[in-house]
Amino acid sequence: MRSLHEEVVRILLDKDDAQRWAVVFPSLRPSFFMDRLLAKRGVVFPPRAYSLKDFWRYLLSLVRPVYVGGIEDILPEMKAVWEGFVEEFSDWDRFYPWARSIFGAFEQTSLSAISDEALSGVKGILSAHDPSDLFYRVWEAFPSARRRFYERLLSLGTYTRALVVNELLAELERGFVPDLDGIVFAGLFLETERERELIKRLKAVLPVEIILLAPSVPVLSEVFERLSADLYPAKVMWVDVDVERVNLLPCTGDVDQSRKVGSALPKDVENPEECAVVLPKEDMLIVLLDYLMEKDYPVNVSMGYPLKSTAGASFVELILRLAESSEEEGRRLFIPHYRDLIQHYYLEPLLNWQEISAVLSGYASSGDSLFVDREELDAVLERFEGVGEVNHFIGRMLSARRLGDFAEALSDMLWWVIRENRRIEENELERQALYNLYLRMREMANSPMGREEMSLLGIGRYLRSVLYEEHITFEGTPLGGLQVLGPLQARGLGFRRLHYLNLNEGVCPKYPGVDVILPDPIRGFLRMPLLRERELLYYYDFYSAVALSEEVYLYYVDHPSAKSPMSRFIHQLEYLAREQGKELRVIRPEAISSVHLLRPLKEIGKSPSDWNKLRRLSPSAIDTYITCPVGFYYRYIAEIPELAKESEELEAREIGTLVHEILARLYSPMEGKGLSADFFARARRRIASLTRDVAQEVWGRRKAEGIRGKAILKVVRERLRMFLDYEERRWQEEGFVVDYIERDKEETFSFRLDVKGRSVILYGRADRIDRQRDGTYVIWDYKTGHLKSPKVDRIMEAPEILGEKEGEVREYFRINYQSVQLPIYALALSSHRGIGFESVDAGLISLKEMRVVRLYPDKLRANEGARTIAKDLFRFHLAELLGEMLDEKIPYLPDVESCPHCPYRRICRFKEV
Amino acid sequence: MIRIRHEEVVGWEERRFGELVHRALEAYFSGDRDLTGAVDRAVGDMLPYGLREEFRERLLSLFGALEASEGFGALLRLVEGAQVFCEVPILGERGQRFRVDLFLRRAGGSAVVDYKVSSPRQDHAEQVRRYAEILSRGIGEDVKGYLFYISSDGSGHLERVI
Repeated sequence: MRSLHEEVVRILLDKDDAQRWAVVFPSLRPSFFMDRLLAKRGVVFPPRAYSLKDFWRYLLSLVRPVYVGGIEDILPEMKAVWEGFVEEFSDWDRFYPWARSIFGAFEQTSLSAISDEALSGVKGILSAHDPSDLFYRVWEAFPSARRRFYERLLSLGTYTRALVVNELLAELERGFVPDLDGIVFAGLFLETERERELIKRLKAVLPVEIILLAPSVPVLSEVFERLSADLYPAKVMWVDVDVERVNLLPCTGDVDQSRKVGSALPKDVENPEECAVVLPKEDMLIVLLDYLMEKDYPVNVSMGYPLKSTAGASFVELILRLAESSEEEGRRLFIPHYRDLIQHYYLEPLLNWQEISAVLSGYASSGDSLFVDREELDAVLERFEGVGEVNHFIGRMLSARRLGDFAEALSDMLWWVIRENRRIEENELERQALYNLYLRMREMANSPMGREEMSLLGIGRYLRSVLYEEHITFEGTPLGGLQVLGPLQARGLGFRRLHYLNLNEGVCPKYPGVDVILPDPIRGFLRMPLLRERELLYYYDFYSAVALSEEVYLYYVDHPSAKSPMSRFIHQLEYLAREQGKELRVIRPEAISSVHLLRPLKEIGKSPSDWNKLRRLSPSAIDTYITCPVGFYYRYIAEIPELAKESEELEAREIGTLVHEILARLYSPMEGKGLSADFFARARRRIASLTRDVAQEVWGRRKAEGIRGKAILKVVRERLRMFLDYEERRWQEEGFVVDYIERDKEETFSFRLDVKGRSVILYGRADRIDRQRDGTYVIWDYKTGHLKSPKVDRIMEAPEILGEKEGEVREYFRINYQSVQLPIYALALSSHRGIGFESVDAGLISLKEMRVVRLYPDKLRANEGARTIAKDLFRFHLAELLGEMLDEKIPYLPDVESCPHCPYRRICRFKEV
Repeated sequence: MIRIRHEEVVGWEERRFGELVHRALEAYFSGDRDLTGAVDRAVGDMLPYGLREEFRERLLSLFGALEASEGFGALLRLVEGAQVFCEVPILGERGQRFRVDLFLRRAGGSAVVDYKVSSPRQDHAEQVRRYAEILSRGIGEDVKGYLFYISSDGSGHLERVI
């Protein structure tokens, strides 16, 4: 089996002087294997080896000094430029949330060769998407700001990747020829428009060889054909994925995966470097290493370990909490936070923390506040060794007005810990984490960003976002030991045995991030690659490693507690296997049998195993079916979570959870009783404390007291106040009594519908049931999103579902019902409680807009006969719809109208048919 | 059996200064032996604009003293007449890649020089010996090994290792 590096070595050995060549890989990792092969052939002077971005920098540095700026060099220049366009951006707190996204958009549009003129056109299409005023102004200024930003950086001798690429193109145009005998570009994939142009330009002045390594899977084949045929002639190495070499290992959790790898590996192997473990979930590295340590052979780790999982990160977090709480209290120290800090692993051996803690507890209980002045604290703890130093560093941090002052004080404190805390020497990982943290703080203190003025809250926000992206490097000795890699490093490498872990959706492949400035509609307008295309990189990483390895073991969590289902990659391999009339070595009994994820699909056939999942249906499942049967299939039959929705709506969901819980607690004592003005007054007074208590119970104290947590709680409190005002007015008008409050999340109201010889249970969960003055029971659901309710009068006027063609039943529901939630709720309440249907109603209360919608419009509410007819119609229509859902002859058909907002569009790809 | 990069713990300023000295010497020997130009090149490649002036002054002062030192004179004499290669990648027998600060190629008298800005340590000489062995294998003749120490006051000291 050929690997990328073997092919490169074959090319180099044909050359007179390999040292005069440069080899460019997507990442540097394959070059280590190239070096090993070259050394075996007796080569002492290897070619220069680079990753793509380092190679562009190297070439430009042959012409002029090139300082590639980090984020702390870039952001102050971004801000200086944007202040001239958007007034609010002169405030760091307002600008920072936008800064990185805008910088990313500058780079991407620049590398994609998008002209200023094309960028100017974006604001023209924005009105159709109802953008916020600020978003519109950002796009209005975008072309000019981008131009000024790059001019400014160039004048400062600070480069970004886009600037390096564009300046290099200009130099080549001016006649620059690199002093090399030739270049090999190996394994590149989806590089940008400008970079492809650079390769073409270089090809005009130097011998250039391009090798693409192409796993033979349909979703990638089309891209490779385009790359090799249209962009530049390239040598394409097609590599087949042989499913007979693939083994599946279902596991019960993350730790189980590490344990299984440990036991799957033989006790000793002759060439351990020919085996690799790929670990997408980097924070599981230490657990994995624990199991691998039991083996006798060496292990080489060439992936980073996230700093956020080390004691260093928790130390910074404690300092930030102390700083943030003190800023709100006139820079006085919050004693519990101070106590947490001195007990930290970094400080605890340097201080007599137990006695200090006792003194602090005594001090706190004797006073009336948990806050203390620093000078007073110095006096109280004067006799304790080491406290003077700690308080000195803290004092410097708390009085910092600039990011750099804070970072410098923190780095001095870390340096003090490095020198004094000998216990850290015993733990290599923590020692390196501490040193990395120190270096990073020093860099920050000396950077242009360090000179920026910020509040302590702003400093905290910045430090968290930057530090939590940092990684600790392990010493890479690729030539000796079992290889432990991240997915990116495994790209293009083949191993005798490959163990690929964490193959669950959201981890591998990762959920793509949201691009705030360049969402897909704008990308489409600018003819830039859509966000989905970025996902192809994951496909490439995975399949190139799988295709090139001799034995492949795929590990995934297959347990009810799994946060996400098995990765689509495994489904795809199962599909490939079935196409070839084969089976993967281990197949889960309940594995999905008909996912066609590799190719654009036209329809999905029903299977008898679907019936189990159709026995109990919620209103949202039926609503999803109405919107698109294929979407329903993904969500409720294949059980793939709604990927995009999960990340985008996280905050709304957090708010919703808290508000629901708080309202349940406020209203519970009133169950079966009448409300009163006094109840509303007391409820308002309890909002603040109840919100804090519930947040601490649901999230934990740390999150509830963090910056983000506090911001969310502010919204929650505001919503609750508005809600109580609204409810009091409604109560005064309608005089309802609270009859039921949801306590048990599992409690449901349901009814049975018999359809085509099968029984289907339709169910709902009530947040609250009220009894109205007229004796009607109303089942309520609190909503944080849009309110959708049926147009009952229209349904009664035109009850016939015309035609029998596919989709017409759904069309009727979409137009007339919008959502089946309220009819199902009303039917369920009637059936569950045995209340006549003429006495039930259902409604939605918007916690955002402070309004309600009811199932029956006013004119039908007093008409019991009409409501009884409506009930029969609801049952009849639902039976029609369920009949279609249960009909095995009718496949799940895609509904193209819902594609733009569908969370499954990236895996469905129906629009490409 | 798992190794984390065990870096020598040195202060950020010292570490950064050491990197700049290496880059400046590379620019000096691969260019036209102009110290000011080499210093400008190093700070331009490695520092954000806000720090360049400060480090430039420090480097110029250091190189001013270095140029006048006996050790640097010895290094220049060693370089004289040789074909000069800076930052040369070489491969060990098992394929480990090393980067040689200065490789001087001349018939019958090739040499490798490694720059050090820290105090002498036992492993410095071992490192140069390893480079010299690999280079000897590569060119098929003996290669001498040197360490060039630069102290913080700008004095240079050239030490023959092999």
